[in-house]
Amino acid sequence: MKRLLIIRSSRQSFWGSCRVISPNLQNSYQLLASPECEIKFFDISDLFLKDDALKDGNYITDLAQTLRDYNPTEIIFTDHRPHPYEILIFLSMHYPLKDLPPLVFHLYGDFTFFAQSWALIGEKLKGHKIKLIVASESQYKLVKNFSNSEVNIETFIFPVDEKDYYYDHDERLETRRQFQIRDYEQVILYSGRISLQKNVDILISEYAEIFKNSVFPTKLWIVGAFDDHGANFQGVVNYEGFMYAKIHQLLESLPKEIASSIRLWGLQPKETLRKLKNAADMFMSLSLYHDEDFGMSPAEALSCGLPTLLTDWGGYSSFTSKRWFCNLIPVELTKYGHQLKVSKMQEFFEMFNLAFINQHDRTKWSQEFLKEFSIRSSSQKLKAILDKDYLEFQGFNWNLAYYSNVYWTLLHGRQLSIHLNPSSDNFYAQIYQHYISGKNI
Amino acid sequence: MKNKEPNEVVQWSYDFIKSFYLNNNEILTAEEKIYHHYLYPFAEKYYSSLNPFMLFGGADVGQLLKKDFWMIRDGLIPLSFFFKEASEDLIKGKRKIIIHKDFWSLVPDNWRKNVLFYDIKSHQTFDKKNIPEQLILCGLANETLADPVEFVEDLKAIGSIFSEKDLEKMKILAYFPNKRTDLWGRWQDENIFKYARALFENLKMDIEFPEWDVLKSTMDFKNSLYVEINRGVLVKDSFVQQMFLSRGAGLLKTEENIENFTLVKKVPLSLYHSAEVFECDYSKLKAYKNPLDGDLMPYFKKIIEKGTSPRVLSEGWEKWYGSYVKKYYKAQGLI
Repeated sequence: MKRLLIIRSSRQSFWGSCRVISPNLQNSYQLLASPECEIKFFDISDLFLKDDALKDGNYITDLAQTLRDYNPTEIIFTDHRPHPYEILIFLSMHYPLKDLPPLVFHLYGDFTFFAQSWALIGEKLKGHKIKLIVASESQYKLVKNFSNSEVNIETFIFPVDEKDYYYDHDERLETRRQFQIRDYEQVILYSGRISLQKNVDILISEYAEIFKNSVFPTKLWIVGAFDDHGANFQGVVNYEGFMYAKIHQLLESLPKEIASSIRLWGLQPKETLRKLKNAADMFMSLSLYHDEDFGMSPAEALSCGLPTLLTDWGGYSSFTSKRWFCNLIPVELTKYGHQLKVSKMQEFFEMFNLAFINQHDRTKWSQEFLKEFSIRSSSQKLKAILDKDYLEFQGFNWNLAYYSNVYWTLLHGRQLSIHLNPSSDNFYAQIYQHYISGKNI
Repeated sequence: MKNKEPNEVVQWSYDFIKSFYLNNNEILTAEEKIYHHYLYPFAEKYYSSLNPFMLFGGADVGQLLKKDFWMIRDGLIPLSFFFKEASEDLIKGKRKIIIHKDFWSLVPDNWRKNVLFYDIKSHQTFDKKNIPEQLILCGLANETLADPVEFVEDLKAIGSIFSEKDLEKMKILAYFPNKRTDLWGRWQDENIFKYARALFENLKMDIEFPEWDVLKSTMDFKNSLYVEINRGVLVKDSFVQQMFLSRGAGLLKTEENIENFTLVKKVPLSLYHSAEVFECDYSKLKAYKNPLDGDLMPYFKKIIEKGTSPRVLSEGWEKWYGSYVKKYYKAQGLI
């Protein structure tokens, strides 16, 4: 009989997408509970050291005690914070790491951000039985590039909660009526953070270029909070308010009729977001975010059956399929950085108009997507991964050590780096070329 | 917008870095770093098309001279010194500076044609009829910047707007960073507990004190009332206010007299708040008032008293900021 001990954060992540991913993932694990598989959750604060010092509890000794009492067959780390390295290093003072059962780590986009911690874990756990579960095919290639062997890496795309996101035609009609969208008008939607690397400004400019003389009445809805994280690893630091000012100035520069067709919705609760996704006709994201391992927001759009156009970048590339409508914008790394083939937007729009999409298509695409990525179906995928044999970890290679060193220096130095600024001619390309799938869909 | 064909490709990052990042170097002196650390996060930078910046905060004069206008976020004291000390070269030609509307009286006659005024407005405001779900109180809990008596007055004012029942329903968050900098005596003297006690006594016992990282990573503050306690002595337009308002928080609804001001521009700073820029009609207002005279004196006096008390005073503070204050006080024979 299996006894899974799932170590999870007791607090919500500060990343919006992880606030959704984490509970969905835990729910998928929860569904594995059966007479043959017992599940136990251990909650740990992301500030466990501080909390241990200031409060009565002691997370690490409690965890050591739980290990002795429960005697799990596998330990699973589902959250990105607190980092498993922090937990394991303190746990080693109370419980020998070599006595731990096989370990499962879910990797998030911040694998690169925490490269140093992963490099250290690699040393500690060499020879231990582990599974590194990545969130997309691209992340698989990226992590493989950092590893001595790929045998410990498994791919599992995070699930979508089918109770939150689905296609509802009545809701579509009602929402369009509420926001006075006429039947013949087409709504393009972007949802997610509005931050530098998400390229919402490029989306708006290209939309304006395509539709300035178009006969199709079209609207662009941008849903999400402004975020001024910039591109830290490149040494590009944004100040609070920069992205809003950038988008606002861009809108001011557009012809009035185009600017008035663009609506900024701000952050919306998930019920409203579902309604907007149901009411919209297309979803587009031109993100080139450097840690785009997955893509919660496109996944939610596809769950609502939306025809979707995404960059061929990171986790986005994994969403293409003939079973639903998801196309990719080709991305290339040149010596000056990323190059996006934005003319694909025009092609996508033309294809959309030729397809005469109706409610049956939307319903079918939504169902097909959820069949693959709902919490229930994901639970079965998790089971299949856990049922595979655990193999001894071969460790990470020099790439990760070098990368972590360069990355860490950059994060603290706030400088441009000849190594990590996007270019086809440097170390960046060696690492991030794996984020481009080259799929031509 | 240029009339051109849709792009075939676009380049990301290279142009951005070339045009923005490479021109963005600022160097702070040790004293300025201490001052900034003390005011963190209230004096942190934010971006808007009005070119907001803090005086004495590493603002690169060379950078400022490149701009046609810039907005001074500082409060009463730094601004007073600015008008006393700054060279008029800064406002040569058409260049304008924008200061907070409350400080119109600090502008010397020869600067008036080059000074505009700003006020920060949230789209959502709260009052007796429109009660927020959450109240966020922020500020530096420090006797100089937030006199405990004034603090209690402010809390009583909130209590007079919202009933006990309303306050009971509201979630109250308080953020009062307490830092060791020795700017005004020892850090132990800046006693957070007396401010906390005033909060409990005047609002309610159930108040959360979240950490800055937690607040900063929260993206939604809709239906929240933001109140800052510092009355703009050192910082008038704070980063903390900018952050909360840009995530949906609102301010208290106030009755204001703007008959001497004409609105010339409204600059949105986020989806939820804006900066309003005004011109002032000086013909309707009193003449320039020396900020170091009269009713502004108590603020300056407080700083001098703290600075000259037997407590340990940092060398940097003594040399840098305190010297300005002392110079004027000495000139007037007050110390």
